[in-house]
Amino acid sequence: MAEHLVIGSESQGFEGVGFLTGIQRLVRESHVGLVDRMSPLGVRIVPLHTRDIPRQANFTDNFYLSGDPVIHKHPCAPDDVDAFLFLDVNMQIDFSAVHRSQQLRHRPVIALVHDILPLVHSDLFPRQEILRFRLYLQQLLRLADHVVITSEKVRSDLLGLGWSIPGTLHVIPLGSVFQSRPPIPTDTDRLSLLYVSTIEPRKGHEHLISAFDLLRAEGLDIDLTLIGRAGWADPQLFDRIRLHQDFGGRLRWLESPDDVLLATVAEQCTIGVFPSQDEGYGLFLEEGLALGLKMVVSDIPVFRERTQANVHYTDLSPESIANGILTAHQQPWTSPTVPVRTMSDFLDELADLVTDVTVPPSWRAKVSRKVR
Amino acid sequence: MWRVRGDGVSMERLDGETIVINFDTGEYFSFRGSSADVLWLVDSHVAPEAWGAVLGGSFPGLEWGETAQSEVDAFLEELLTAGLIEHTTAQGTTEVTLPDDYVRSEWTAPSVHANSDLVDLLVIDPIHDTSEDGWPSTRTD
Repeated sequence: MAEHLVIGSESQGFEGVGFLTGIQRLVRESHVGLVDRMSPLGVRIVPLHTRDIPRQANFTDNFYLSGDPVIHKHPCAPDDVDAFLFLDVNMQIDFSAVHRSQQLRHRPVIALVHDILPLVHSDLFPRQEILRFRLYLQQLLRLADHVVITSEKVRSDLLGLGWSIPGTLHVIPLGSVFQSRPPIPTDTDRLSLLYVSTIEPRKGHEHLISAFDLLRAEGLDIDLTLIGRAGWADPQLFDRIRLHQDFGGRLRWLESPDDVLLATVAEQCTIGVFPSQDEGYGLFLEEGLALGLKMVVSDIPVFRERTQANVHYTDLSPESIANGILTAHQQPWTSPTVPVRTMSDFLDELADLVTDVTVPPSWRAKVSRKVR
Repeated sequence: MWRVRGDGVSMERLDGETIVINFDTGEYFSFRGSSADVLWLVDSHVAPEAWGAVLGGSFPGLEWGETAQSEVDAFLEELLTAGLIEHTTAQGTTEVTLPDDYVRSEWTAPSVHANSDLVDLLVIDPIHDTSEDGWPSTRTD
């Protein structure tokens, strides 16, 4: 057996981005967590490149991404790794190269499917985007021995396609990167709303701003902070935010804050809102709860899976969202009896899975004896 | 009998459209209508002698005969040449119903059109290459 077991984590798309979405954050957190948990087992996680093209390093523009412990390492080609890890959503992966390499020597392939929203909500995505995503997913599922999904809802969506999925499905829910804390007491009765999400049509920003306007018109002392980068929304949505009469005052939009700033902003807020039409997971639910917010979220299956203290469900109309916000505002925050799930919980389970399918039991036993 | 190649080919159907990816060549193929249905018969191991009744009963006005049969035979030869299907000596089933996932109209001869290879299609990634202004703007740097 080689001295190290080398797991290639596909990073070619990740290396080319300099901004943060939930997916980039998850890849980075997974790299940190897996390296931490698997290094003692003699596992090296390295960047996997499927295309022989010049390396990009845009990630170095972002302080948070540049702290990723994997992507600074020398990249490996498919032939050079002992297992494959696909955590990112990179539609430029050369799956044919992976397939050819697998023909020579089969190794475990573990893939994370964040969601399949372009296939179940084709009305919300451009046609070419849907095709690209479908090609990506079809190839990924064909090659993966183990498919990690983060909710029962995504599992249901995947099975609903009726496709052949040769790999084993594993549901491992995500969790908050923030330590749980109670709300920070304030000396005002102001209703301060926070929404952390990429700005896209399905995320419900239109309805939320309309709900904000309704509550403003009723004379409530209210503000709304949007955090997230511009996604593939209609430019009219961005205009609605930037040209809003309260923009820069009671309506704020922070496009690229880091976690420290996000936690600081949350200290000033009382309610998190998440009026999305659909999500693969929707991490802001756990993050908002961990930051001491009461959460008003859309009544969709993926959020119903995670019913817990301080979560209020609402239908997706401006009136319903406004009513949901008022109801949550009037109810006290309650201390949860079950802890909010953490990113560490997710990483423990992911590392267990990756270890089980990549590290031979005899090797694990040897390391275990050494540790004792 | 024919079957879809088990190794190196991914074939899936969704909303009446079948996409077949050939991992060996990096090409992908999109099939709709009669093309998708014939591929479905192949993938479902339906005996060729049953195809005429199935297709004739599904496409309005289609009289199964030599013309339709020769169109399907030509289509199968194209699929074989493209490396998507292969011969098999297995016995096929005759109990079959086509998926009810699109509205069938007049029969047209099935055909194979290889699309641009995946490398060309995926040159622009709409997520990572989106500019700070969001979709549909793409980064210019």
